[in-house]
Amino acid sequence: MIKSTTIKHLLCFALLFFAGTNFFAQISQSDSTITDPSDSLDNTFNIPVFNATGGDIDSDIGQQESSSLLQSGRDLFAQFAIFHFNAARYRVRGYSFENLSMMLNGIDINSPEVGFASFGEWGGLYGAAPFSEYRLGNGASRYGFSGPAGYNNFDSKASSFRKGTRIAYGTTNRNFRHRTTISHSTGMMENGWALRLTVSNTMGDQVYIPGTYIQANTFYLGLDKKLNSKNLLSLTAYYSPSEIGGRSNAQLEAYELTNDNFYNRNWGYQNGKVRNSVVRKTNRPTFMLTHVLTPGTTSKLSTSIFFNSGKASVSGINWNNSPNPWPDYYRYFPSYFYNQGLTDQGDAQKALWENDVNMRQLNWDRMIAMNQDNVYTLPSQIGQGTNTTETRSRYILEDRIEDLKNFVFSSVYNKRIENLFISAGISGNVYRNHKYKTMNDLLGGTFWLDYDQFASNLGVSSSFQQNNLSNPDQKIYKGDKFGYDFNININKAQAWTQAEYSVGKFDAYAGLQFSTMQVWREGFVANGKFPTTSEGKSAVIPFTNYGIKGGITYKLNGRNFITAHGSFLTRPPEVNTMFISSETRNDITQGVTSEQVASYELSYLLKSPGFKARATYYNTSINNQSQMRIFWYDIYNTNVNYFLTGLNEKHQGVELTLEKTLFTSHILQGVFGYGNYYYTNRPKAQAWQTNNNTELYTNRTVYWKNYYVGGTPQLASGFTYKYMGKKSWNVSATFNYFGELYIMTNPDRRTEEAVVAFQQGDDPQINDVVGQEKMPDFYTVNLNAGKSFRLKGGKYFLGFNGGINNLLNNKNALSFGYEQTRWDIGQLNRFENKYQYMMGLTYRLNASFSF
Amino acid sequence: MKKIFYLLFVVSLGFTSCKKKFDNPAPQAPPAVNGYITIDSIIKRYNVYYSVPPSKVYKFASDVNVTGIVTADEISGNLYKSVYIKDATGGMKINLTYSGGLYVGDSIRINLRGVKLNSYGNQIQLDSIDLEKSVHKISSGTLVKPRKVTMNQLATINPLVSQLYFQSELVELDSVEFDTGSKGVTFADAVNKASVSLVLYNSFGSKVIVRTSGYSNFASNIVPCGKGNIIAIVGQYNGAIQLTIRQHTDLSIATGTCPVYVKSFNDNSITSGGWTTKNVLGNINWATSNAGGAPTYYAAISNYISGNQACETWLISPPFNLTNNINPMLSFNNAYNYTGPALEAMVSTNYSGGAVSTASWTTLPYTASTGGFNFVNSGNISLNAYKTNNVTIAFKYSGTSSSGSTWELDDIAILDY
Repeated sequence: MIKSTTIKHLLCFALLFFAGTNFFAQISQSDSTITDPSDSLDNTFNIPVFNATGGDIDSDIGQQESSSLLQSGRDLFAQFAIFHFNAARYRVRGYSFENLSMMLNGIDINSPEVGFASFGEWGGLYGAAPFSEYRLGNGASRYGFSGPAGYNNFDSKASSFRKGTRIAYGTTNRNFRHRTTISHSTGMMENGWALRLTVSNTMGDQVYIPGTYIQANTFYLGLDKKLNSKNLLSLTAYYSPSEIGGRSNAQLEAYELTNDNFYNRNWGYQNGKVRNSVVRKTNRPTFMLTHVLTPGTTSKLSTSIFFNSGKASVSGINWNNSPNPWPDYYRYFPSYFYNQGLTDQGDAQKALWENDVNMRQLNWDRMIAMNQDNVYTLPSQIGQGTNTTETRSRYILEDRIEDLKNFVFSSVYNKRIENLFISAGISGNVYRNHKYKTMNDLLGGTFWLDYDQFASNLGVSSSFQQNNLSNPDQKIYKGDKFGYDFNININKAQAWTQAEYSVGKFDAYAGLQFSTMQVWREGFVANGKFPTTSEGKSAVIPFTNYGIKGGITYKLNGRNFITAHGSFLTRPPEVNTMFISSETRNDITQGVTSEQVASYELSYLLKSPGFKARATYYNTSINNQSQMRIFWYDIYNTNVNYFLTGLNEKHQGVELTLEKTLFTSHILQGVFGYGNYYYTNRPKAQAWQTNNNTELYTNRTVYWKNYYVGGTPQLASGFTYKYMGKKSWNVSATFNYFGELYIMTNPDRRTEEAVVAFQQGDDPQINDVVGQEKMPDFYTVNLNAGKSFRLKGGKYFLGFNGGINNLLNNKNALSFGYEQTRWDIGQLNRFENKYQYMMGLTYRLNASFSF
Repeated sequence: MKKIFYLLFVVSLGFTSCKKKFDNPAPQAPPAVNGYITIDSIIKRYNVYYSVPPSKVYKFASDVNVTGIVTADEISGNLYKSVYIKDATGGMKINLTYSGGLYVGDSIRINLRGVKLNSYGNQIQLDSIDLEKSVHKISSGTLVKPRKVTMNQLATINPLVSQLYFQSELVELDSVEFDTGSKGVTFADAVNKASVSLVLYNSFGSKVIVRTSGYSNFASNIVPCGKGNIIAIVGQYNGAIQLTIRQHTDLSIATGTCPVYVKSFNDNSITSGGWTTKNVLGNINWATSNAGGAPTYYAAISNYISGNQACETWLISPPFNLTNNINPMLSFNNAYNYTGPALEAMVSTNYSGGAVSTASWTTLPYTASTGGFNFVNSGNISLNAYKTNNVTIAFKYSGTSSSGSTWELDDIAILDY
């Protein structure tokens, strides 16, 4: 026993020395721009494994705002976005992630449930299959019908990789400490086989943000067999289990009290060890088999089956009939006392925050002690012999699990007929996502009771609080399933076609797409609050969607191009908006219908030796959107599910890129992106209690028109000077400037009901309620350098590169902020806005060795 | 190449480890014990300390402990940040610094160091107890049977401690019934989260207040109209004894037949529900009052304003449709003091608003108060002769310039059984 664990640890340790990323190697070799994995991992904390509901609600809002940086490409603007703007949580064109089609060998891997591909699940692809083709915008795609942000297709086929072995190691002080990658490719061998294997390990413990950690591995196998000159079979097996201890957003008061702009409430000490409570685990292997038929040189039929299954989970603290354990609960802040004029108590609380780590972080030891002392007998069993040993946990750590089975069939046909290039495809998707909770840790207690504590305050009948009527008063032990248990089921079918035509100075294309989708919920337990509507199947919600797109390129000459692309498409909203409370019941939200996206962009491109430029104007309307959020409602002592429907927003702006080469070794690069992302109408809000069937209100008008869509800088620009040395080395310095960064607003504060108390005269307080905060502009300076060696006449390749982000170590730039949905009309500062600061100086270093 | 695959394989085995494991800390030591004290001794200590108004609240300064079994908890929301315990010598209210964690049947030990002993509305309590620091649970699941008492016994003083005998104890009362004004309403105001006092009678006419929090989970439940048993904690607020129900199942009172209609004045309004007043002579009017220690509001009128004033003032109900009733009856509570003309109860089937002279009125006989502000019930006055769709009830108050009583009215009800 002892021996085997020792060996395992030694192996873990040994890996640190023998591996590394093959990314940077790719970059230095091919000078293509592939996502910097150390940057992308920032997103590990921002992109949800799934949308957790319940528990830690407001912080999920931040996490739903995904960065669109799971992408790579040659475009200079995209390069800046990935390498330099990511630290400021910049999203290209302000688009959220569902506008980008993520593809693996032409199969769309965006989840039909949430609309995008999660980084926790797919981030490992960057190590496994580093070649991806990224196209920004409404251009043509030969893989499928993509939206306004374009597509990013990973090619994982073993035969697409050159023969060779690479060992790479990277280290950074951002969000991991060590990354080691070993990969080996055979290339297409004479016997018709091609094999590629990759293993990669990423680890880090409290590297920049206190309490966070990452432990991620990637195993990838690509196996191709050329059956004959016309037929190729390609297998991809991809498995990337990861475990990530997350960070939180916080109010400014917490940052000030702790004197740490990277304060993270999620962790605390348990028996002297740092423990994080919000741990995301992903464990979903993917298998894909593709058959490529190339009957001639002008046509190709590519048919794939794809199966992705397994669990993703996020852990969270839950509690029953006990004080809120979160250190940043509003009643624990000094300001809570100061605001009431209780100076002494405020001072005392301030001293606690400043001096007692168990005050400002989760106090695991205290929760355990409380659980251990809570001897408990069920009310129905009182008087039937005294129980002196079993304790009922008052605090627990639960896992919210999504156990997915996603099967995709896809077939794509491409055919060239002289100047015409035809693409067409069909695909089908059977998606079953099983959601439930399990007990991760009883924290010293013996059992947990499967009750809804907010319903127990309401119901006179003891069955009302039961989460599972067929097993009332169930004692939950470690590993048991509890809380809720249901499936989200989706069937989807799609057909698309596209024609590209080239004549004279014109290239043109047109595309068409048609899809149907059926969504239904299936509950596996009858809930005491909704005994008749929680178990069994809901009605099937049908969607029929279509899209058209087209574009034209005018070639003034070989160096100057003008392009115009546009698309109009409809698509289903996120599934969590379709059900009033999918955790507990089959009731369907009224007014949730397909979104409509209309987008176009006009570009001028200049490509001449030594000088490249692009100027683009884009204009995208995303209309009839639905949103769902959950927040705590004091008056009714319950969570509320809050829906917005019919929300329209506009994203328009310009992008400029310039690249000039001087004296062959000096390169100047500049990019400028300025946009306006704002809401263009007044959506309707409805709100429902989760602890009973009460509709709090519907059809409430939200005065959101012309408010900015927050969460990303709308202005981002950068300038790089790069020197390319003669002996394969380079060094560059970049200056970046960010502005027009707005807070994400709470719709509930932009209603007539919210300001009714102020309507007499021009009360200046109205602005405090409805105004939108703009965060200060900021800038960063980054340095990068690289050097490579070819040894033994090019037989071996050794590469180094590294960089420093935010050289001036500015730790005071707010990169993200949102208003809490829970708010108090009488005291706005009770539930302060939450923010995140951009990281200060960070570095990364990579080394790779290939042969 | 084989070597590479071997390396990849070995490395992938190694990846599956490196997991975090957390140990629970050693269990916390329970609070210290340096002697025990019984509940009656605590009450005696209270009596001694507060017999002369002290300058400071009493605070225990040693590790003396009290043990007891929890008799009432916060589960229904009717109690908040407080529970009740009892030992062999009495009951005690325990105020907690935060809500939750103690349940009925828990056998607990409280270290009293730093705990305050004081009272609220004359009810003695152990105050500001931090569950984490001061309380240790010994066991759970012990059944505490309520003491069966009569309503009159509730007011008994225990001579040993000069306090209510059953203060903070769990008791059970037999054959009780809510008063007419309480029947058919809700236990408390769940919308505005306001507490409500209801009146409970026994068959001998004794009464006691049942007070319920608007936060309790049965606040919006309908008060039953029949007879039955009730289990409750005995409390007091200044002079008045108040019962607190722990949860809805503590009531085993029959649903019964509720009044068809009740005007209880508990909403502190004379005119709510369509009631009107008419001054035929003078400008004396009806007003609500809860003077005299009444648990709820009633309607009152007096013509004495620095001397008696001649007046005639009517209190008029909205029209009732009694066509579908089988045996409609009028019932109300009345009280008076001072000499003067009697209050008249009237009925009309052709009143349609406006001056009372536009309709014909019939006087109804009723059992009147014996004076001295003693409320009595009118008796059930049959309305069988008036089963039309426009029945109006009215109360006619008269005073002269030389005399006039104060009349009080409450719980005007139409019954049908």
